[in-house]
Amino acid sequence: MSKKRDRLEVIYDLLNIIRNKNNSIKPTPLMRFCNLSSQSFEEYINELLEKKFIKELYDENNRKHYTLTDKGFRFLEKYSTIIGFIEDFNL
Amino acid sequence: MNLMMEPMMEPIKGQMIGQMMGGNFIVDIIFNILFVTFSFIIFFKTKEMYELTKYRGIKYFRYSFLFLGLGYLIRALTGIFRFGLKNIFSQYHFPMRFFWAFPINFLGILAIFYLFLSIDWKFNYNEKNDYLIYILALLLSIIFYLTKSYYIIILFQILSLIVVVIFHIIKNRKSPKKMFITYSFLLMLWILNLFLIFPERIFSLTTMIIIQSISLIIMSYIFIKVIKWI
Repeated sequence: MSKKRDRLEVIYDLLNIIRNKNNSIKPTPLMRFCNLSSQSFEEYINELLEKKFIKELYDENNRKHYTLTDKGFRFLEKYSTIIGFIEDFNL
Repeated sequence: MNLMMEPMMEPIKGQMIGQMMGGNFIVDIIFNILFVTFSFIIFFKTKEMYELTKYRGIKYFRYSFLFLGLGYLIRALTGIFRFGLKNIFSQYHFPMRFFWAFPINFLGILAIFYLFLSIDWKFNYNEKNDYLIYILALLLSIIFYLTKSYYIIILFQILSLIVVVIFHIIKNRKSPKKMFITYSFLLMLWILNLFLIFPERIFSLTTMIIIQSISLIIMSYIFIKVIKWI
């Protein structure tokens, strides 16, 4: 499996975890659930924030939460199609 | 006998040539419109997939159909304007070859490289080198322009195709990609199609229809495959 495919899978896993946790999760449990090193986790989260797949929210105790944007939901919705397309055309 | 027949045959011969040219022209225009439409639909319909993933394979795939579509569009416009504007251009000494052959050569080389990059980009290809392909295509187009030979276009396109095919075969000896044959045929037919816009008619109307029909079948196959996913 290619490195890039792994990358798309990790993005899918991260977004899927957030969605399954009622679309709100703190950084520490998210990192634990997605099984990434802290450095990789940081890189992926930055990428997801940059691409506007997720956004940061702060609760009343000023604790950070991640939540999906419309674009993040759209990625999850289209994920299997995109993977199918990539495989079908050997991309 | 021949001398007697000659003046009578002239209008008939002219009419036949006119009909053939008209037939060529209509077939060519229909073919081009379909090909351009398919290419642009593939490009625009895969936009969201690329926007969501920024996946390089999808990027190169989309670009190759954009360039191929633009190449066929210019080819179609050439057919439409060629006869009508030929006199105007020659009157002002405007180089016709610059008007269509230069961009066709440029776009064709880009389409060839990008289509194969879409399946071979994982072999240590750095995205930052993308500009080198544009420079190569531009250089080859300038060389073509300086040589003033239409056959140079064919030579450059064939050489580009050979390079990417050899690279693909070397890199995929153990597990050849299933789209390799389809892409090779599509690009070979693109090159054959270039002969049809040369000033000298090389192929008969029947041969031209066969070449264009096979091109359309392959393009339709790719198009249907894409549509299935979008």
